[in-house]
Amino acid sequence: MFGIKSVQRKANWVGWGLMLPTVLSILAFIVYPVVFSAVLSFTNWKFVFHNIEFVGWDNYKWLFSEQGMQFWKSTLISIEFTFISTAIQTFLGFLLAYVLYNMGRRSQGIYKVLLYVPVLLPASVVSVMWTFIFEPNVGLMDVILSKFGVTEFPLWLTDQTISLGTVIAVNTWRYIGVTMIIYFIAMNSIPKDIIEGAIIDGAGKARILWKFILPLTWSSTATNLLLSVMGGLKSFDLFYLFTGGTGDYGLYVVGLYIWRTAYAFKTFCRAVTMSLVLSGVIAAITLGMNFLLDKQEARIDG
Amino acid sequence: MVSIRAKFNAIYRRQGKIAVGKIVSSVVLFLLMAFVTVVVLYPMLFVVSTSFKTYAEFIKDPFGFSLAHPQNYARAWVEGHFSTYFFNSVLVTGLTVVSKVVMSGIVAYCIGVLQFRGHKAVMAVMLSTMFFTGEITGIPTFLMMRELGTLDSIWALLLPGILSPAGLGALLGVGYVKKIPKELHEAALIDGAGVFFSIFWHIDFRLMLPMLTLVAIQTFTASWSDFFWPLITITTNDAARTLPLGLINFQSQNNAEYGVLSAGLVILTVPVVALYAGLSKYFIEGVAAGAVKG
Repeated sequence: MFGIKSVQRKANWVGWGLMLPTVLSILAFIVYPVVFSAVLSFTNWKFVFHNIEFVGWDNYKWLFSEQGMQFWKSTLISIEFTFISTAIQTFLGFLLAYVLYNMGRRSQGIYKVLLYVPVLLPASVVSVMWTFIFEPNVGLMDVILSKFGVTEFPLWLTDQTISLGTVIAVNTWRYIGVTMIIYFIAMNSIPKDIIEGAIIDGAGKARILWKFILPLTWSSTATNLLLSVMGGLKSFDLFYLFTGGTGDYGLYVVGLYIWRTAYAFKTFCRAVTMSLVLSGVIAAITLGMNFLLDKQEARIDG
Repeated sequence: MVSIRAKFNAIYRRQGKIAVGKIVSSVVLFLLMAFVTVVVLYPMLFVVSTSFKTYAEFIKDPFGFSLAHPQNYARAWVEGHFSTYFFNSVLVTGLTVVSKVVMSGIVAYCIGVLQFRGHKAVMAVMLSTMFFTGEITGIPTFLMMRELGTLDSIWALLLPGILSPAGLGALLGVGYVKKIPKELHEAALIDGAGVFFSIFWHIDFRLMLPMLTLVAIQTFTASWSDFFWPLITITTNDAARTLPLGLINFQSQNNAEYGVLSAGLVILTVPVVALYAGLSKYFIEGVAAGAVKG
């Protein structure tokens, strides 16, 4: 940076001195925990430090044994949740962004700010709020339905067949603002003259949407899909809060299972093993998606 | 600037196509947006309204708007111990935000401006740590806090909050600082502002302020909302609970106290929403920045 040698030498000293706390903090809070987790996964460390031995690949083998099946069942629930909610969220987010894009400047400003508010709410607030709404009989949902003459109410959060759908709905409500903003920013960065040129050439709205807006926001579609898939596979806060931490009613997602293995069943060795395997699964899915999305983007550009 | 919509209309009018189609589509659009607005906002308004009702009033008329019982807030604050939780949340979040802002500023300055020997290696290490998320580091950090004897005290929240690395904020900062023209720093050196601190203070800190605001906001919302770390580290000590944990605890013990519980929800939410109301531009920029990174 500084061309003068003596100044740069001083800058080296000052730089390392100032960076020392950050370097130590990375060592203590990231490098050490990651190494520790990897080592822990080869031991029988349950909760307290007592009679600890190396057990080789036993924890990994356990995952593929009869008792370890819950991990894969939970992973499947997570994958189901992730792909359904990603599809809905991306589609609705695009739709909203497109509607907003076609609005006047003032309403754009208002809606952009408004639709992002749920994203800010802490998970605990979201869960308590929607518990009010889905409470059997006295909840808002059932009260509204009863006004329409419905007398048999579904158990929104405790009926195994619909509870996942309910959580997907709440999750979409919560995060649609992010998807929408990302699309909206992308649509607004499409050069105006491209669209204007198309209008002058007589292209209708549907054609412009299909031929210009959709392909030109493709990198945002990629971002949205990746963000939502990564978030979805890891997500467990709403599942924990809606089931009181039990994962009942068909809501036993993998994040929650790992969490319970660690802090409820107190078997850290298995929990870290599952975390590492899950991180591998997520990395594989993300990289695979990234590859496919890039290919599609290259096809659009070409 | 003329909006796209106006252009569209102008051209359609020229072609003589203003007609039923346009009216129908704007009615549909209006209804759609009205529906979306209600679905997004009503649950929140519902909570605010419920926070002013007794249980009996809530059952009788859940939809009616009410400001009848502000004492629900007093009850949440005193009997529900929300005053304790609020103080703890302010303490933990406040110190975490200060720490992350200072760290991000320093890292950005050292790597982006001083460019000390080895800064590229440090940057590479920082980038690769982004891959390891809380899922992997959680248990070892928990064990660390247990060894230090901090469990069930506010220190279990303060230590990781203050000492953990700044992550994304620091990386955003480096990219930001690198855009500051080199000549500014060189001119400062020639002018005799040889001390690095004064370069930082007079040039980079000022130019970094928007970026630091972004870091502050993101750290604030994450730390203020955090539920799971307090849940595992603060198991029994009510005096060390933060707002999200205290709220869920209150819910499990007073299931029917809808009014007081809603008041608690409002107390927990108001600081975040107030910040958003004042600085919404930064929040939305934050989404864009995060999206570019992702």
